[in-house]
Amino acid sequence: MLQGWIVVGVSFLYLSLLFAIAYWGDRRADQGRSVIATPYIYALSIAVYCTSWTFYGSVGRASSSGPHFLPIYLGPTLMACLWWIVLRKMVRISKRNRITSIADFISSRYGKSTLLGGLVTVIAVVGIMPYISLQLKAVSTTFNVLLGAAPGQAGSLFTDTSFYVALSLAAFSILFGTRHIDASEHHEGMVAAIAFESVVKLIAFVAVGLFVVWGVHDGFGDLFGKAALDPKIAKLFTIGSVADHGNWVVITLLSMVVIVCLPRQFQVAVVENVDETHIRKAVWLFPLYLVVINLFVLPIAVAGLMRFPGGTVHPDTFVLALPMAHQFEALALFAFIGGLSAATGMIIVETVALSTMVCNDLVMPVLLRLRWLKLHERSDLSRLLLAIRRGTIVLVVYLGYLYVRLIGESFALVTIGLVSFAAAAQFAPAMLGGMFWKGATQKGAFAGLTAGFLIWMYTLLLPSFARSGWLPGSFLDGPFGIGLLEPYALFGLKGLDHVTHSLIWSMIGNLGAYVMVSLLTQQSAIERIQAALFVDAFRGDQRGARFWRGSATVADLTALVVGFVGAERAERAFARYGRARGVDVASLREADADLVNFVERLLAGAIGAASARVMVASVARLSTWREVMEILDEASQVIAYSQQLETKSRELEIATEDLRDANERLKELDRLKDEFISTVTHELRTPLTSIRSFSEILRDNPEIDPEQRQQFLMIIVRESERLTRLINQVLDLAKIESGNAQWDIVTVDPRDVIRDAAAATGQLFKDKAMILRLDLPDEAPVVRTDRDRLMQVVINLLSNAVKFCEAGRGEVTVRLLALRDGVEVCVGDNGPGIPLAAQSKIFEKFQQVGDTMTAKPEGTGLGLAICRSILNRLGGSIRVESAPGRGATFCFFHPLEAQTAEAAEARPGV
Amino acid sequence: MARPPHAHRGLRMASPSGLTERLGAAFLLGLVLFMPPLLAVFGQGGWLAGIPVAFLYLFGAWIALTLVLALIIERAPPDPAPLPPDEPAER
Repeated sequence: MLQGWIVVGVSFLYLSLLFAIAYWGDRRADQGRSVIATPYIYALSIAVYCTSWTFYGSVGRASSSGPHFLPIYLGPTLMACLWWIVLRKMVRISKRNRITSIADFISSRYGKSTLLGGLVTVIAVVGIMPYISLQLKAVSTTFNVLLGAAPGQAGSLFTDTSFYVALSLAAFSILFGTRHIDASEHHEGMVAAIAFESVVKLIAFVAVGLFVVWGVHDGFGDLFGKAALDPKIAKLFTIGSVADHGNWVVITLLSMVVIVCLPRQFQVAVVENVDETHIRKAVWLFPLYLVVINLFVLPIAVAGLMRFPGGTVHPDTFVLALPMAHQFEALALFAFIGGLSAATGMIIVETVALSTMVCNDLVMPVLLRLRWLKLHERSDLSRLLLAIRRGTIVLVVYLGYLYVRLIGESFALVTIGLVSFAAAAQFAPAMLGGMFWKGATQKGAFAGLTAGFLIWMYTLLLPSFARSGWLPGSFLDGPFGIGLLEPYALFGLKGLDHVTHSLIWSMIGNLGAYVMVSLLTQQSAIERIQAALFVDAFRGDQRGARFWRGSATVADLTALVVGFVGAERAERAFARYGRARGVDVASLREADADLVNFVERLLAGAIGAASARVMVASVARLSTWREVMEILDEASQVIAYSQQLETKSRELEIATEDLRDANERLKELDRLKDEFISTVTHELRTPLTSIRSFSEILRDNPEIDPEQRQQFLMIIVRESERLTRLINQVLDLAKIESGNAQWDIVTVDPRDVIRDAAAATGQLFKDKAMILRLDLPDEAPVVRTDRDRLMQVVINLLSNAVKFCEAGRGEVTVRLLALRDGVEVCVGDNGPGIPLAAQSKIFEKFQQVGDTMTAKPEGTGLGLAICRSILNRLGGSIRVESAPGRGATFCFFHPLEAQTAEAAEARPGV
Repeated sequence: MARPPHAHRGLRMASPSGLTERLGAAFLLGLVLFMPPLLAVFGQGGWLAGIPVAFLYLFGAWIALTLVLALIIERAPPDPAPLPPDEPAER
């Protein structure tokens, strides 16, 4: 057995070492050579999350429900993945607005509301009290275990270990956390000490773990192998039933949000953060720390259960009892120091965080409102602030001590801790919601927090009072015997863990009220400004968005700052401000809005945002409502302009794209036109050349014999006719395509049109001794069309067929087909056919099949182009089917009702 | 996972590092690993090389996730936009 004085002596030495580290850290900070400006210290300080609960309680939890101690650490691991998004935003917001606690954060977000800050503080103090009591209980219990005394015996006040533990820790926190009032609330010394404590508790726990696994047993396999023989222990290696899964999920989500909502986590992760980029490394360093410290929890629990069967030793103390049982007392003492560091780290940071809150958001606003105290006129308030904070620390620790005296003995460590977790989780909707949802209102946050807190009290805190006899036990069956209101089974919801049950109801109440009331109420002007500052923390420069547009005399402001932070610090702050802005503050008489804002934020660091606003308002000429609205208008105008600009630039992009397309089309058309003109000219020149040369022959040779002269004249006439035809067709085509042609729509029988066309081309067929067959149905629908144009189409197709068929063997068939919405006319021949490659081109102008260089073209090359133009204008279409050597069939479709000229205009050009 | 430095050149894209997206994905991975469907599969009991499967799985998954986080963080380029100097910090 260890001697009491050794344990006390070593503990005292350890605490002195901590103090030395803290002192050194503060000294270095004052010299400007910070020791905590590294992400490793930052990550280690966040590990203040691991308290006695982790050190002792996890083993206790693991001994009864196996892996179910883990969600408490898996949740923070999951949240760590999102730190870069969530925590970084919190840090950014807090630095911009000089926020120093959760109460400040929430009150700032919702219009610097004093009421809200006070409410958050009350919830934090009441909710965290069990958590602090947990640490006290752990330290005193383990102290007794180390001395071999029976745990749980609480004698008078002066023989109770936890009383002395509480006393010494309160003194410690006061020395650490409230040495002076600091406008930024950085406690570098404290952070250094906390990081050191994180290292100590990690090494201590891992040392016990290694001892148990490889010292007592022969590695993991041996330990677990022995454990498997006991069915009760073997059950610890499973997760359990569906209800257990439910608890698992809820506890994971709970611990996920509390890692950013617990006051002490906010303190180390946000307030004490010196560099935003430290968060990056912490994202993986912190989960790594959690993995390592949890690795041996289950092995120690299993080994403890095997070594102490029958419940002779409380599982919460296995970490100490196992080395003691094997006479490794030095290791036990080291483990005790590890547990002590876990507890002290938590209590120090938690009480400092709570004291800041109580002072800035609860006591100061009240004192400032009591006009008869004349606080405004006091010259030095910083001593008052310090006194309030120190008093708060003593009060909070003492409350925790009371809780452990009255209630704590009947609960396991983890159960007590989870009660506090559930309370801290109530901050999550207002806090996280406020960072991402601009529309959340002050009334919504107030309603949500109140509802959540009341339900938490009713379903967790009060029943714990009742169970320990502080309230009548009948409370547990529901007040006045109403079964539906049973605190542990509200509205008949049974079968869940108490914490899970409470969380479900309180979160429904909290979130529900928060969202509903926010949606139904309006924001005030300052709420709107603050909401924008928080939600758009990463967007651009926010200096313009400030509430104050009033002004004050510099003398008043200086007096105010001196009163709260002391003359020396105030002077330094103003000098820095002057240097940054290039003005001499002392020489000014009237302070502008910028300086007023600066003072407000300076004060906010010392006394909280809400109080700072009240103080500044007392000396600054208040901005009028109209002026506030102007600020808002300016801001919203800028936003509107930028949105307009964005829209404009998008429209411009689209328009540019359209123009580019149109330009491409124009260029293509231009190219086609050039081609057309050059082809037409070429086509015109051929007959002209022929006419000219024969005329010249006739002119130069008057003695030419009459027969030949006759022949030459025939050629001239024929070429002139061809020329005329060509010019007519070009004009025709141009007229059709330009849309200037007259369309004379009448009702006709397509069979008549075909017969007339066949009659008109009859001479051609006779000339080449070809056969023309008409395959017309007995009945055909009438169509409304331009008769002459339609006939022109048929004639063109027929003469086309004649041209390409061999004389004497040619056969041409015209077929008419009645369709549902029009008629189809097909002209088939048995000529040489059209190669596939040419089929798509033959409807273009001047495209003829065959080699124009060797075979003399027989037509103008415009016939098919005209057909297509006409049919397009009439709303029809034309196509060709052909295979080389098997003739060609041209088919065109004509609708029952030809389209009007106007509609045809809208169709894309041909 | 390396990709060319300017894979996207949109007008208003997310931060060039893609850090936020990757961490978001890691978060989802964590949810899948530590939440019931998979948890139920590995939480039924059973032994592997003398060590309980639940213990192996939970810590294996946990270490793997931590490793993924470390990879994401350490391979990302430095923060493009640290906090602009607002006003000198108070001491």
